Amino acid sequence: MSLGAFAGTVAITGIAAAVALPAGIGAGVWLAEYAPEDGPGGLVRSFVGHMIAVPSVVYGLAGAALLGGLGGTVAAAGVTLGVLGLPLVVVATEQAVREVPDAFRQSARALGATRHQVVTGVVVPASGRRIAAGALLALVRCAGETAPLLLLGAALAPGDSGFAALPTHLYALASGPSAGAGAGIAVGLVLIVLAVHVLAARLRLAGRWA
Amino acid sequence: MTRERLVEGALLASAVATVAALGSVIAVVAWQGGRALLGLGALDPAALAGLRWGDGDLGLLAPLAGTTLVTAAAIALCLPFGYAAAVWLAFFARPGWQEPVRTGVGALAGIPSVVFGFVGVVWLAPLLEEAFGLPDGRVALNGAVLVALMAWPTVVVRGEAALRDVPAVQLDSAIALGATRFRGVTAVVVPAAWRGLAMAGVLGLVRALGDTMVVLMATGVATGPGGLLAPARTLTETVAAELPGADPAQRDALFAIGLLVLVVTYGLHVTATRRTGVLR
Repeated sequence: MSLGAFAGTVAITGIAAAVALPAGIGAGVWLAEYAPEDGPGGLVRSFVGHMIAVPSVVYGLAGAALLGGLGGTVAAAGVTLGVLGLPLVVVATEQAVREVPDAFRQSARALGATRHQVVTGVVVPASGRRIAAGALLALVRCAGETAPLLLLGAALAPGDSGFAALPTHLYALASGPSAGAGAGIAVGLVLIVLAVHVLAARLRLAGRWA
Repeated sequence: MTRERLVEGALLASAVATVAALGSVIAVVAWQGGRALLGLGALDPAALAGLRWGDGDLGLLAPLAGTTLVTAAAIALCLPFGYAAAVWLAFFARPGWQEPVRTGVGALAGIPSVVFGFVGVVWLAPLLEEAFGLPDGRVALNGAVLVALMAWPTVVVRGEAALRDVPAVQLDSAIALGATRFRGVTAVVVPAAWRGLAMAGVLGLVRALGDTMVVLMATGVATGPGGLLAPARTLTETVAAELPGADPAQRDALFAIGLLVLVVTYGLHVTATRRTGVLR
């Protein structure tokens, strides 16, 4: 079951990445480079920022209601976790893009670049490592989420219908008679989180401007 | 010009899609949860106690009391250690230590809650059974300790940021007037940063309120709160445990619980970030 659970988590995280990264990075760049400071830009910024505080179980409820037709599938879990990760990606991207020194933009404009050339050719590449760091942290958070998967019909026992994933597998083991059997998965999850956090910290450091 | 429009249009579309996706989360929980609350007629305690979601139909008030108990205990445990660590990181840690410690604190915040729940079941529960002579160590205190640990990084990170926002000249002046560094920090910087420190605590509270897996795994099964050494049932735990297999009316009631959690966490986050003006 562990191997299937690992495959499930990889698939779910992959779908979550496909949902969260394009929209999240795009929205983050828009907020940093195009959105007016107040008015719609400010509203979007604060709404997305506050959605980070909303617990995962609420996202799970929404997923269960809206994606009920896909109940018990990796697709429903991946899309729900993608939406959960979306605000994290947006906020990290906006911050990374804002940290690019204005001298970069002004120099590019002075050399004749158009506004979109400045964004796609200078600003986004310059903030790429920090955007990647934020995206990695968002995805590892998605990979470890458990509560939404319980609401979306994760399989908890061998023979259950529904998808398997590492966090729900750990939950099922810990709720069973031999709870200690989950130790391997628990240690594995912690090591994955540590590795991704160290990698993200190095990326952030490498992408630093000041 | 068309390519200009294309890039800006694609970015704007991403922002619209983001808002639509997140907005639909709020809309659907508000719709289904609101339906259950409106169905009660009056929103007084007696009606809320009658909210039916299965497993003995305990209403809204029992899990609300459980959440209050576990969260209050967790915050009481978390804040002293969180503020102490924030002060140490901001003023007393050696420069070479700061970055690794920050990464470690961040990684602790990133450890999935199911792992904390696992620790509660296999390690903390037997410890509490021995210490207090309990038949089962899966009690409110177990969850509170682990939730405190989960909320701790938030308080450290936000608290440190609040302390660093105080202009350095204040500490320097205190030291120039003869205060020790410790005295300058505790008597001048900490009071000057109190608002930011309070908001760090509120953000820790938001984190504690939202936890589901620790309280599902480590606080046992209960019908109502019975103190720190008794099992507890919380709002989030109820949603996760009861939704699979609930009938339509019970589903709506669970969405009402989810709506309550959504409104409280979102509202607290709005207050905590408005006062300090920072969203991260």
